[in-house]
Amino acid sequence: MIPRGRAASLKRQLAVATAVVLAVLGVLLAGGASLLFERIQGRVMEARIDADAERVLAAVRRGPEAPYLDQARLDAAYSRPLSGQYFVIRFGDTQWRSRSLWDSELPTVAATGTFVHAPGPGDQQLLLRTREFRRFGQSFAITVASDYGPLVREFRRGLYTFTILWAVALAATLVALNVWLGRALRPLAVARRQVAEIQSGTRQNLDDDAPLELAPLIRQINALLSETRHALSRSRHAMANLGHALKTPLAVLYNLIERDDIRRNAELHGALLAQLEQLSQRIGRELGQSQGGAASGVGEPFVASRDLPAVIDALRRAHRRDLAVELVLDEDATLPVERVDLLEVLGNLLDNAWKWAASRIQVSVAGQGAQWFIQVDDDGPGIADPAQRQQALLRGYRLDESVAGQGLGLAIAADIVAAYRGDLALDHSALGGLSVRISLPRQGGLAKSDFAS
Amino acid sequence: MRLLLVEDSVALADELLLRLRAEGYACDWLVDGRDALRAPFDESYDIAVLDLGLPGVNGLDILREWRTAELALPVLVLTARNGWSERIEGLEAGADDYLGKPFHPDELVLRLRALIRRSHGSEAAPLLRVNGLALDEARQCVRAEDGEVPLTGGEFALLRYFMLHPGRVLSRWQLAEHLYDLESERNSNVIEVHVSHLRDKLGKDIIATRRGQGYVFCGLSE
Repeated sequence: MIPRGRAASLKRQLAVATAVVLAVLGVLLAGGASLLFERIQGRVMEARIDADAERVLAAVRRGPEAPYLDQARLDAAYSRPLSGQYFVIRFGDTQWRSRSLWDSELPTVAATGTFVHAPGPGDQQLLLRTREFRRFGQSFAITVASDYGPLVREFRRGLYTFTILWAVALAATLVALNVWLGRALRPLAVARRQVAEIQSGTRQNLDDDAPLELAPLIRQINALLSETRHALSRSRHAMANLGHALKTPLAVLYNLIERDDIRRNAELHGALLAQLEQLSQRIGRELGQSQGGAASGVGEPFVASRDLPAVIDALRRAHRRDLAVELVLDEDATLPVERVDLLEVLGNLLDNAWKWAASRIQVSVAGQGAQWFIQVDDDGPGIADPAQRQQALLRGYRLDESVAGQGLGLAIAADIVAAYRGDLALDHSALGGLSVRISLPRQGGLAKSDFAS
Repeated sequence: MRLLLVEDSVALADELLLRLRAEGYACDWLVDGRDALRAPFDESYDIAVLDLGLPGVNGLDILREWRTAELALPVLVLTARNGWSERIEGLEAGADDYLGKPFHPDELVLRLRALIRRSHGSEAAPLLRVNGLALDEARQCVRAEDGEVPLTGGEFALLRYFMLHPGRVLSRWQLAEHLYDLESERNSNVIEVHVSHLRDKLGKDIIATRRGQGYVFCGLSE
């Protein structure tokens, strides 16, 4: 399994890409809006100031002696102190100021006709312009100023709201993306669980009702599985056929050397018999190994509650010895080992136990953590010497020569267990005899999925 | 003891027949599975040795068919396929014993002896003891307190059959059927001669004659 930290995560990549795109888009939008606002606001303000200047000019009336300012014609804002609307009218030596200016001054403007930004009373930001008008034969310089601060503040508030909404939308998008992606990847998690089931032997193929994008992969994997199965079964058959084909000639040879003319020559008979034993033990051992798929996980699994009683029944019939056999099984114990292989293991172990047991045998199958534990105990003589126990597992060593059989049972069982990366150990049994303890990894198993978070 | 051997390897069958006949079995040998299907219904066999890889009909199918027809014949399956899954399949099909190839001929003889004893309800002791008589099947002689009484092959085969059916009336025809294979000439006089020899060697009362019916094994009933 790849450590999650370093592994490229589709989800994270998509989340980062989405966040970047949305953030850039947000900044561009906000920037564009600001630019637009500034331009529009500038124009509007300029137009307003021009209009104001003309209205102020219209309030300048011809008086009997001199021009006067008709207050009634002026906007009320010019009378409210610091209202943000100001004017100054200069003609000759006279200067009229709007009452709103109170005791502050408008900045004196050098050039006429240009718009000028200037700080006003308080924190006001003023746009002002001075224009020359001729009226009643005189020249009036009218400066009109207007505070554009409120507009800017209004826009800033709008921008602020926009930014917050945008951030919320971005977060919501990321959450939604995460959820959608999790949902979209769920078929992968399902497929992964099914592969684990195939490995543990509880399933043969992946379900092919996967989403459109995944279906070809699933089909490909199924094809691969079936090909592997075929190849395995072919090579297994070839191996078995060879072994079995050799057995009948071997049986003939065993019979031939018992003929009187060979028996009479004890030395020759002994040498021939020794070679024949070697041949048949080797074949027996190799066939024992080639029986199953050795952890390929493509065959029929071992179902303890179905298969163990069959082995015991076979032994009961073969030995015709009345032994008390106690089975202690986990409910629904299905082991990720090919049935043929575990039958071979348990058949050999139980056969051995049957030969030696005084009256009882105990078999237990239990799953614990990541392991399956199988234990076969008998109340026979056992093997007292630990060194001899080791010997019993060695290839071709005949410990039980006195009892019919090839004496390979324990060794064949150990071979098969080793092929599944398991462990077989011999020990002293609580029943008094030999205890064979096997641990098998629950490889594959139904491990937790990495896709769904 | 009449034995049916179904084996398609000629070389192996030759050797087995040699050994089994020396052990006092009247053997018939078949190669083809189709012949084997009918054989035990046509002849009275006491035991069958059945190979599984046969031409014609598979050995397991033969066995299943025999058992379906409620044939009680003890069957020893002799096969190269002796993995445990195959063994279980064989026993489930109705085999009484299962011997994997290659095997030592002594092993086969021992298994056959045990199987015949079991099918007649005797225990698996080294000597066959019935009514005070002890038969050593390995050495084909009778063990007496004062030593051994040697037997010829014919006498041994006859005595063994008697001892496996103690107290039962066995006709000459019946005896001939179980003691001679299809190839031998069945001459009931031979049986008469063997019975007379057995009486000479072991005592007059060991086998009683039931006129018109046959013989009954009585043993040494003191």
